[in-house]
Amino acid sequence: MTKALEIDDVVKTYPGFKLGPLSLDLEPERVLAYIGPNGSGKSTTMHCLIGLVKACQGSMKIFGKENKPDKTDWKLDIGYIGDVHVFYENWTAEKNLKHLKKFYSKWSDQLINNLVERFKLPLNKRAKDLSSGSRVKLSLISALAHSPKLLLLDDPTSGLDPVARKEVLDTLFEVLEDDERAILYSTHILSDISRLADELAFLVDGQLMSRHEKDELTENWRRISFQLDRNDVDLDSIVNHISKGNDHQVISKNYRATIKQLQDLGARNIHDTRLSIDEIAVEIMKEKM
Amino acid sequence: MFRTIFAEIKYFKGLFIIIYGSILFLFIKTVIGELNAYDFMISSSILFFIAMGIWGIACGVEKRERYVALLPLSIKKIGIQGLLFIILIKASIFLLWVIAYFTKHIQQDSGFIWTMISLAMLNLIVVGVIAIGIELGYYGTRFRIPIFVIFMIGAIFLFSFSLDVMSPAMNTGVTFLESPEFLKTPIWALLVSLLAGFILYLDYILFMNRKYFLN
Repeated sequence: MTKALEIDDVVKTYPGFKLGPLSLDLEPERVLAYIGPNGSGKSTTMHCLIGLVKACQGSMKIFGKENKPDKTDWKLDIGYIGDVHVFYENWTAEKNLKHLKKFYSKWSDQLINNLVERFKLPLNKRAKDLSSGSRVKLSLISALAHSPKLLLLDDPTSGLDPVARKEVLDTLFEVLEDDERAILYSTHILSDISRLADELAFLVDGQLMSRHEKDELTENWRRISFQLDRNDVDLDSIVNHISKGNDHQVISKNYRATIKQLQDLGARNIHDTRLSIDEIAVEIMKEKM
Repeated sequence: MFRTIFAEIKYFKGLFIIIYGSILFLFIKTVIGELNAYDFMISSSILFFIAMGIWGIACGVEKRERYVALLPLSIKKIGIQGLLFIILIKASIFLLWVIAYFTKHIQQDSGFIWTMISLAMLNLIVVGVIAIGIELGYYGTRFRIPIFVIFMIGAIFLFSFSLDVMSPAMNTGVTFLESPEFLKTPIWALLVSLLAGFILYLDYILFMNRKYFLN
């Protein structure tokens, strides 16, 4: 099956920063959370994908079509929302949408009406008079209206206050939850995407450090508390260890193996608890940085 | 192909109504013989620069390049459309110059049409050079400021030289008669046209080879 996205050996350098060599792919209908701290290269990856930035080397394909600047067919399969929302500022939201319609053959007015209703977007307001939250909503509607097979979301809620962010994300996830399109969602706030993500990829300093299935992470990563009459608990699968006297607490990336090893060491009262995906992501990032 | 051009015209209709309104007012004054043809050309050239300046700044503020680069259009088309927009505006003003030329109140002289063409091309050269300066900003070379300064000084010098020589007395009807003969020749018009073509082509090439379209 043709992949929704294939990034092969891409490099982009700026003074003092290098992204890649980066190779990444995404199957259709899958949601990949692209996670990394600020300045790790998430936006640069997105910009290269959408053609806002030319990569120094490597290739990028969207549903098998290379994202060449002299071709346009690959752009029709993409819906992109970046951290900067650009419009004809003095036109109303409605006029902005009508203008975009001219460029997409698959543009659906019915879908627009549905989304406008769900997002409660004031169509008669000029873009420059829209609140930050409504600007994001207008961007989202613009990106979804031509039913793209791949959605690139580059930290779309950055700069929004928590209330506006929650409102936008709740509606967005409601729209996308039963969706069948592939999504690459870049963020440094994992809670934004953990609900939707199938997989998580971690980017640090321009390098892809690891990639995991979300279910695999939530299943294997556990917080384990136990009692042991010694302080040096040095196990491969442990990423974080806190102890107070004989009471220990560790974070394990493979709780079954850790419990087995702890039992071999003579640990008592072993209990494991599941971690939220946010907690797991924080531990992974701490480990990689 | 022309969707983005029409969008710009529609979006900036207020600006263009004012600019073209002013140009039409000057045109009528020229046709009825109240205004010197040179004054009309120079005033409308200044209005053209004002329109291009406001358009350019407003597009920069609204990050229009990023907007257009995200549309399903090839970079080649985007580059051509940008240039076409500028040429279209200039051509519409030039058309009024031509109409004014054929009215009975303007000195009918074959030299005048060549002067008109060279002045129109000089207008494009000035706007093209400013665009080159902006494009060079995307290349990050340490030579970009000196290159831009040299281009700009050259364009301003050429423009001022032509205006000064052609219009030593701005409000009299004898300006055209007083200007040197070589500025009324087809060779001069051809040279200036070639230079304008080169500047606009250079602008297009710089745009096409940009590494990013984030602004």
